[in-house]
Formats: sequence, C-alpha cells, structure tokens
Amino acid sequence: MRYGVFILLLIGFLTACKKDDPGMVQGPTPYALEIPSLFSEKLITPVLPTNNPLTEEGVALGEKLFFDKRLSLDGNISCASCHLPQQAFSDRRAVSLGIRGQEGERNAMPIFNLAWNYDDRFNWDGKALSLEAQAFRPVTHPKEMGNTWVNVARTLQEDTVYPNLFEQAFGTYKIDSVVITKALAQFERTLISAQAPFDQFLLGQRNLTPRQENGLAIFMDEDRGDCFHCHGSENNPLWTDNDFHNNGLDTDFADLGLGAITGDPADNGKFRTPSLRNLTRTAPYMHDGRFQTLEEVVNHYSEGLNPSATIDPLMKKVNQGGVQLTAQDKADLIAFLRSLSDPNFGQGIGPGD
Amino acid sequence: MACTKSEKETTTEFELQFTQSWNGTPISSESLNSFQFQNEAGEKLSIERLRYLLSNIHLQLSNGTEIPLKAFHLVNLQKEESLKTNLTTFVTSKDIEAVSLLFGFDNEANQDGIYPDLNAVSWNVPKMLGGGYHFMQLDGKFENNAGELAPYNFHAIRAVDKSDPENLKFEDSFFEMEQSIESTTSRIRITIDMDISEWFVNPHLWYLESDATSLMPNFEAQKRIAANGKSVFSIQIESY
Repeated sequence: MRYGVFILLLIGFLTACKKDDPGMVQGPTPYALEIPSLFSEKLITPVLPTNNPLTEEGVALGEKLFFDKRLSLDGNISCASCHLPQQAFSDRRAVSLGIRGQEGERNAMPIFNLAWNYDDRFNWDGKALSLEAQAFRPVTHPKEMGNTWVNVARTLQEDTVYPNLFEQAFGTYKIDSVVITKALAQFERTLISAQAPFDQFLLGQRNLTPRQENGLAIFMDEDRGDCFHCHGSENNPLWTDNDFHNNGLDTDFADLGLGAITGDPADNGKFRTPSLRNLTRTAPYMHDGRFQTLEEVVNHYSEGLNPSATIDPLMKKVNQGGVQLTAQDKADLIAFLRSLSDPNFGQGIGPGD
Repeated sequence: MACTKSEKETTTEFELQFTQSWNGTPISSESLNSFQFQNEAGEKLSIERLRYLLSNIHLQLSNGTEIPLKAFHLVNLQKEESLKTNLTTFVTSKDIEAVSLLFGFDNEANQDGIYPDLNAVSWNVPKMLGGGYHFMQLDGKFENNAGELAPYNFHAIRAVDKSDPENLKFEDSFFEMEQSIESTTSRIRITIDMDISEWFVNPHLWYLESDATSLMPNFEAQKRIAANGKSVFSIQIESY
C-alpha cells in the first residue's frame, strides 16, 4: 500500500512538471509519423526499429546531416548531392559523381516509403540489412564520400551546434557513426510519397483519363503487361514487391547484383525491384541507369528481353523478346505510370527550400 | 508465466509444418533453380519460386464444434520462417477428432485487398480477374520441344471465365483437406506436405509445352489445376 501511494505521488510529481522546468530530465519528443490512409488501409505497419525510434530531434538532425557536405572527405558531397529532393531523392545521372568527380557504380536509388520495406534489405543488391546499415557505406566508399568515420565524427564533434543536437536526439554529446546513421535513417523513414494522381483516384478525388485506364488494364493483364507480379497493384500502394529479380537486362552480367552478396550463382543478375512511384523524376532507370526514358523501359519489356540462366520466369515471353505491346498500349501504359508520380514530393525538405 | 497443471491439461499445442516433395523426395530451398525435376509428361523443369496459401485451418471436435487454429498461412519455400508455425488451443487433445484446412481461400474469405500482410507481398489478383488473392505461385523454367529453356508460371487463383469482361463467371477452385487426429498428448505435430509432381498428373496430365504461362485468365486451366490439386497434399499427425 505504501509503495502504491509513493508511486501515485511520483506520477503526480512528474506529470506536474512542465517541459521547460529546470532540472527536469527529458528524452527526445516522439515523432508522429503521418501514415497515408491508403498505406494504413492496405499495408501492415512500417518497420520502425525499437532501438532507433523516430523522434522530432532525431529526424531533424538526420535531415541536417543528409544535406551536410562535411560528411565527405573534401567537403563537396552530401547525401543530397546524389539523392536530390527534386528528383525524388535520386540522381539525374546514370551513376552519381563522388569526391574528385569519380563516377560511382550504380544508379542512385530514390528514397521514399523505405519504412515499408519489410525485408529490411536495401540497395540494388540487398547488401544493407537495415536503413542504418545502408547509411554506413557511402561515407567511407572511396568513390562516394571517401571519408573515414573517425574523421566525420571529429568534424561534427568540433562543430558548435552538432554536439547539442546529438545530445537532444540521443542523450549523448559524443558523436560517432552509430548515432549519425541512426539520425539519417530516422530522417529517411519520414520521406513518404503517397500523393500521386493515382492515389487521388483511389481516394475518389479524381478520375483517370481513358488512356490511363487502358494503361492500368495493360499493367494488370497477365496476357499483356503483366507488371503487377513484381510491381504490385492498387492493393500494394508501394508499387514494388521489394524483392529481387533478373528482369532480362543482360545475358552476361557485368554486375552480379544480389549474386555478389549471397555468393549463389542463381542470384546473379538479380536486383531489387524499384518502386514505380515518381518515375517522372527518377530517370535514368535500372541499376545502371541505362534507360533514359520510360519509352526505353517499356520497349525493353516489350521487345528487348535478354535470356539468361537466372532471368525471372515472370519474364514469360523472353523467347519472343518480350510481351510485344502495340504502340498504343505502350503509350497508354506510360500514361498510367506517370500517374504514379507525386508532383509535390520532396518540396520543403532540406535547407533553402 | 508458466502454465499450471490444470491449464496444461486443457490446452493442446500444435506445431504445423509445411513440407514439399517431388514424388516422395523431400525438397527445400536448396532444391530451387536446378533442372532436377521431370513431370509425368516427360518435361524437365526447375522450380524457382513456390508460394501457396492455406486457409481456414481449424479443428473438428467430437462434440461437433469447430475451433479455428489460423485464418490463413502463406507458405514461401524461400522463407524458412514460413515453413513452420506453432499454435495453442484451449481444448484437450482427446476431444479433437480432425484437422481441416483449405487450399486457397473460399469465396467469403477471398475478398479483394482486405489482408494487409498479403497485400504487402503482392499476393493479389487483378480486379479484371475478380480480385482477391492468389492461391499459389509456382514458377520456374522447363525444356521445351525446341530445346530452349522456357518460363512457366503455374499460378492458381479462383477460376474465372472472363469471355464477357462485364459479366465474369466464377468456378470454385479452392478445395478442402482433412485428416483425423487420434492423440491423447498435449503436443501434436501436423505435417502438411505438398507433392509438387502431383500438380502435373492426376486427373489431367499436364504439358507445360501447351500450358505454361498466362494461366490466371485461363478458365479451363484453372479448373484443371484445381482438379489436379486434390491429390497434391498429404497430412501426417504425430505426437511430440
């Protein structure tokens, strides 16, 4: 009984304290992730690791870090240099330029809706097994930021602002790679894209054009586009299965993709399915950025498939070169694909916007 | 919290195992991607992907009631965690007469887009085919008559005749399986095996050369898949 009274008094004391009371020990403020209604209705809850919960302070710090060029050795490259907000956090270049103008190895993947990647495997090849792990590699990659984590931590530690921001976000003034990548991952998890015209159609706010309607039918038709098996449907508003497929780009592989990670030859030439959202701003396409336009992409699936031992069986007409769409069907399919692009995504994010 | 003696006496733990075989030889994810299988029609084939849905897994009790065990379970040969699940029910094993389940969804359960965990793994069927969900995806390659490797997509869904797109006609292609349980122990293992070779045999000898892809909109193919499926599964019960 006495313990019960004590606990009640303690609760009363704590709840009476205000946020700005001196001496009050406070943690960071939980971040209220706004989950789009289509996502909450159609999908299971996003992946939010318990050892890195979203907080207002952590997300804000992650955004600041994302745009900070001091993460790179020469101070010229930030995450946003290759993941541009106006490009849905991808790059216009086939492969991005790192420090000293070096070309990277793959096309920069766009960044949105990553908290709904349930297998938690990131990058084109699935090498990173969490968003935190994904943020680790570019900083030290010699063709990307070319830095060392010791150097990055020292640079930020000497800054007049960062130590306090890390303390507010993670309760420590000591800056290291763990808290930096945690902050970056928190920020990335808040990048949600769900305001495309097709989303508005699903919400009953607009109609599709006849061409978009036909494009959707082609997308969903196993006899024509058969895109839905890998890229989902209106019931999977991510528009990706986040799985790994060989989509018939090559017969011989210059880049083994997933196979280089697993060591299994059956995985050679497999890459993670990208989302079809925001395609109007994520060109060029494929892991190596080989296609400049959506027309080239659709032509690939229609006539340009290349056979190989690991090509996905879902590329079912590989022996005929592809699904053989008519010119009208191609144009309509692209009209539908464009309706998955959110014109406002990325706005208001980062310094100066 | 540990179970008391009386709780233990009134509960039964189940371990459901989902195994796969080819003509009696067990297969696993290690068996994928190699041309080690030959169907009854003599076609050599590989398996690259196998996912299938079992639903309405329930117990039949001696007093005539039914106890649900699990609404549905998606088996994915490439995901170890999907090959086994443990369930507990508050009935004693001596009151249990049988376990029953469905391959696929019945029509009441097969509603479009209502299962977020199935939506998240792109298990849906397009609305133009009636919506709902796949029952199975069995994908791989086979050696065709021209000596080429050709893909096959042996996908099972609710059979639909879409010859009039405005008036889809359906035929049920889910089917039930049942196995009696005679056990007095509190821990029961139920092993549900899929003999994949049976999809291509009985009663319809299947030629991938003729029917390999675009089977979802193929009404006749779906009916034949469902008919062949009835000899595919076997259920074993053991105490452990």
